[in-house]
Amino acid sequence: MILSEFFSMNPISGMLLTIGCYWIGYAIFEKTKLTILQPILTSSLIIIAFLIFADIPFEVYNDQNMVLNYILPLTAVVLAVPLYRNIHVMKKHAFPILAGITAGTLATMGSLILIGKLIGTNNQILVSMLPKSATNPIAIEVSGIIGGMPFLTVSLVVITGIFGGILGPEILKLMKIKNEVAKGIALGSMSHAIGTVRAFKEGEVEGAMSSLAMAIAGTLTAILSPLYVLLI
Amino acid sequence: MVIKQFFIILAALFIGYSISVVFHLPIPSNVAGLIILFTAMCIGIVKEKHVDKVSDFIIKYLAIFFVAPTVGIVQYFNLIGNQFFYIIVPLILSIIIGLFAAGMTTQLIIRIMDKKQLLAEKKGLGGNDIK
Repeated sequence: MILSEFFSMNPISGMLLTIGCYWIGYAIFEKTKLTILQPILTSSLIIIAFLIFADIPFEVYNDQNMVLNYILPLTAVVLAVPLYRNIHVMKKHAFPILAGITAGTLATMGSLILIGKLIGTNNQILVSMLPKSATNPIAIEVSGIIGGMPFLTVSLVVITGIFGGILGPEILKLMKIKNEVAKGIALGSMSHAIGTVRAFKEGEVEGAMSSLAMAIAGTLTAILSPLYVLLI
Repeated sequence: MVIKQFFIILAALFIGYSISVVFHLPIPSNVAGLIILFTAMCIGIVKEKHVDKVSDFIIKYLAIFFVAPTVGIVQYFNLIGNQFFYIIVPLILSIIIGLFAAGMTTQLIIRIMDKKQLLAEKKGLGGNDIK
């Protein structure tokens, strides 16, 4: 009770908590280099535990992070720069790359709706899941536009990234997808930045392809989501 | 100059917002901003050195901006608790299907194009023999 009052009283406490916990998460990740220990995951878990322990409502914490939330929309715009830097890797295989990213994006959103409908997933949750393979700056905005719950989407995006980042290359191996370009495209289209970090561990070509795929797949998800949502 | 870089990025977002509002586009204004900045770079209006420093900085620490929204999942704990199975099954399966679709399409088309190229080269050689 006293702790929560102290926290609410000082408008800086929320952002201090965010930056501090991210620092801890980042240090853990740098030490271990384990994909599952993504700084965003560890820092969020620490903060959630703290908010629950200290009985601080999320709204109070979120309001104190407004400075970060205001800059958030800018984070999608700057993705144009890595896209521009990597566009040259597309020259040789432009058609297979664009076809692959499009096929992957169409298939993942289509199968998500189909499976969700079959097993009876709650509709609003299904809508929030739709942009899960896009990078977070894009996914959070798309989720709001199509009537999803942006905060849920953000968490699902992180889980998607971690799943693809850890198991993606192994799954691709089982599927006999061995081509370097194809592997990078699949990782980037399905699991955005976290998949891209893993792709760079697989090789230079995979990494460049993945960062290219991440930006294009994200943009494609933004364009296609309003159409897909009509199926839900 | 950092201020100039910040201005250009903000301007791209500004134009993106204006366009998506004026034309009632269902895509987010920041994605419109991304497309505008990318187009401007391809045309050459904006050079890489005009935006690289601020972009690299934001991208490197991108995840910080999403810590608070991720923490926001606490608002849905009840909802997710009931729906856990219904969320995780379509999530994982659709990622696997997407990996397959993206990877296989790219790999198959590259193989077909390589084969065609090889055939064309062989034909070219054959033509030379006749000459």
